[in-house]
Amino acid sequence: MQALAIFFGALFTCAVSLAIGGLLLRDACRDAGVRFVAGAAVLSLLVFLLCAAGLAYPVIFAVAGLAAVAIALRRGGGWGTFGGGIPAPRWLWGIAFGAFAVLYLSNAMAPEISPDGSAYHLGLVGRYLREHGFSRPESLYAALPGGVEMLFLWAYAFGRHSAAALTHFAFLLALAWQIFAYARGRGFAVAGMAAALIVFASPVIGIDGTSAYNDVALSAIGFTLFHLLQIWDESRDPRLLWAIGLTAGFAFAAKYTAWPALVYAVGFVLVKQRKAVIPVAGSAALLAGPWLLKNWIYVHNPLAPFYNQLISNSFVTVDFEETYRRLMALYHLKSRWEIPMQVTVHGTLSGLLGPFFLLAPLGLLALRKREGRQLWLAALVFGVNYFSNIAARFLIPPAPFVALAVTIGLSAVPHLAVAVAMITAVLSWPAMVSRYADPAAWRLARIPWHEALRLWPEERYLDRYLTYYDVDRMIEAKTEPDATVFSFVPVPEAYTSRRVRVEYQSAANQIAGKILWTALAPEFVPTWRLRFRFPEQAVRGLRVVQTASGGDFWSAGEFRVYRGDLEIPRTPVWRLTARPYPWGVQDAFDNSLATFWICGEKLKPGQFVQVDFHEEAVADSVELEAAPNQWAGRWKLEGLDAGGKWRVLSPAPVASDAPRPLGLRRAVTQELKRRGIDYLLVFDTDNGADDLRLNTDLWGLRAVGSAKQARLYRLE
Amino acid sequence: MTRARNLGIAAGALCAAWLSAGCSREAESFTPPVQKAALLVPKAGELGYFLTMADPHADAYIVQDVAPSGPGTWRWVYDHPVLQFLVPAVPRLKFVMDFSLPERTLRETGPVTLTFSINGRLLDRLRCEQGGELHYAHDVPPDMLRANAINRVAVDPNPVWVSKADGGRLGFILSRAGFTE
Repeated sequence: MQALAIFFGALFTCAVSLAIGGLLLRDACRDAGVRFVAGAAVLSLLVFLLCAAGLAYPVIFAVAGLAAVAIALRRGGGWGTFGGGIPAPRWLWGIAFGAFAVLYLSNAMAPEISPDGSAYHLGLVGRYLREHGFSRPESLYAALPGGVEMLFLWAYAFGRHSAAALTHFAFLLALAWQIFAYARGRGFAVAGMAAALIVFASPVIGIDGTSAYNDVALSAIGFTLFHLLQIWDESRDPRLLWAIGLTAGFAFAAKYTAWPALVYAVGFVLVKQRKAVIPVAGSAALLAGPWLLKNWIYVHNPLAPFYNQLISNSFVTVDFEETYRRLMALYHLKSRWEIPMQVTVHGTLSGLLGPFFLLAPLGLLALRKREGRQLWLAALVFGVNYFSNIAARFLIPPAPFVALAVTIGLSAVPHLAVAVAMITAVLSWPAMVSRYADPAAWRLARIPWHEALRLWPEERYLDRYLTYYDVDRMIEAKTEPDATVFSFVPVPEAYTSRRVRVEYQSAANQIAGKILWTALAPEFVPTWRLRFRFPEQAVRGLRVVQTASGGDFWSAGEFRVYRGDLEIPRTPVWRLTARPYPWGVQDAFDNSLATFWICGEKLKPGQFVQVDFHEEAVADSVELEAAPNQWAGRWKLEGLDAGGKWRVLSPAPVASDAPRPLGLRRAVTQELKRRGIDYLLVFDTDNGADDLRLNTDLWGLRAVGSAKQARLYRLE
Repeated sequence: MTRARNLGIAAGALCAAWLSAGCSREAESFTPPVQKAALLVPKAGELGYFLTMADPHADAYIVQDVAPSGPGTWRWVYDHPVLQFLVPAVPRLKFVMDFSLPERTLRETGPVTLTFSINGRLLDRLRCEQGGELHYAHDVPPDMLRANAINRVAVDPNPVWVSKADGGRLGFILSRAGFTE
């Protein structure tokens, strides 16, 4: 029964996409692959709008989908053309494609165990369905465009996780088909078939395309855009222009890194026919714009979680983005020269494309032909952003263009492309991959038919192959349905209905994590006192200005103003601000040592925390109460005089130490509760795990559950 | 063409306005929030639950047998050092101490045993066989402490180092001591 639901969810999504694609393209393009992807773009937009309106209900999906199919059938659009024209030796192609199709179908249908698919792609999808639409993102992943995830949501509504993965697999089929269909249409049927097999069999494309990821979908979207542009260039059918724009917009809606697709589509038609730009740009904006608008509304940064230096916002700190970009640009490699072997053979950068792609330079032979030049242009468009994230799967979008360029280049020698494709297929089979790839390389390993058809229990498979599935089970069993759990370690959110806030995934979560460390790590305990003394005088405002540069950070627990021994009480007329990250400045003026303002950027001269009294106040000192983990910072105190000028009142503070505050652990717990956290999920390897376990009474926590590697505490 | 250009300009202007709304580097300002209950931290100059020798008011914690001065962050203690602390009513406390036993004195005295007593009752004994910077922490039974009152802590070293030159007696080097959770 579950297997049927999975099939239905995926097939319904594909059928609706094909129906919409047929209505969109009519006779301008009858290729089923093109129609599927172009229709999926519109369906993605439809699901987005339903989510925005809070109408993401299965019944609405069902009615809308059936209506689309019915209209398409009534208008006689059909499902488009698929198959046919396969070159010899057909039996060999059949065996090769068939073997991988069996491998992929079983893995796509098996319970979802992919790292990102189970952590956030489907975690978000499940949340949208439970909440019937979008809510304010609590994770940077929720701010990434989710054009493909909208299709997953449609499928998930009927067949849950595996239906989403199976929908992604449909994109892989559409991709492979279109590689062949495009090449066949230009007289390169054998090269097209060979390239289609090479792409289809690629280990990373296989596992990505059978998981709830979006890289293969993006690749299919990219190839569809390329294909549509080539068809339009030949036919100049104006109906294609809308599909071109929608597909280009869909590429951006699938992944930010595909923004060059917009330039490519607009630029291509601009060169050929200027008037054609308007429908292309307009329909592209229709798909891409909503995702920017969503981020703008929710987190005040249309391009969240990136460009935070340019578009300052409270959602993601500049420092996090810098760290994230740096990490994605090199991972664990010592040099970028390691990339070619890693992404083709070893596979430690999230999988491997396969050794065939070491032959990519041979594709330059295809530059002699117009098709070759067009393929390389498209490869450049979809590969230009690769170095922003060097994982192998970020090469999936340009890979089909490169593969086809190579096989066209090899076509000069009879049968060579077929031989290379067959060797590649053999080398890509799981049993062969394990002979040369790194054991930890992300790849498919088996044909899990029993699990795919749910002949064996889903739980057993997930428990065995999905890390922290037991933690999800614990969370489900021990917490209330509306509970929020905080964790330093991501868990497969696709298998829990609770909100899981992971420390690194937003500024608010990072601050919550640092609040927890305030009572756990000695260097985070606010025992440092920086006293700025100056001659007693009337000032309109005071600010502590940081003067050093470097890779360190600074923070301020409390900013207290004194006249003699007496602290000047804070009043509602005071105006507080800080630069950078002004949104947390109230935490330096709330009388709590469990909270603090964070800078959010590395040390730069001119950063400040400021209070404007909005009237004159007589003072003679300021004390910053802070954690001692900011040795590189240097500070001065400035005062705002009656003339509105800032003058240095104290060039440097006197530092001293105070004892660790009593009741700090409990204050931290109360603060985390105030910030919406109900439970702490603590892994045995987390810093301070022992302190939490041994001092639950001091923390105000109650241990409510434990899994193999983690404990769950309720904040009392 | 003109229409297309106008549309392009309008779209560009819209994008610019949109981005500029988020691009503002002008710092936002806020009023002070509701004040939260302060945590227990002794005020500077007053007797509290924790002593650091860097504190200019450290003498307030010393009852006997601690050197009257030191280089700033530590002082020698003698035969029977006694400290006093104002201990608040807190459910579970540990007594902690950061101290040092110089290798030079330890070579002459051999292993040193520290006997910890609170309000005259034995808390613990610690045998130190190696020198250097050391950290001591021990849970204190609640009934040993008087809440919101002064509590005395004695830390007796045995044996102490005796100077062959002038007969001076030195126990260990104290940096920080007091109660914590």
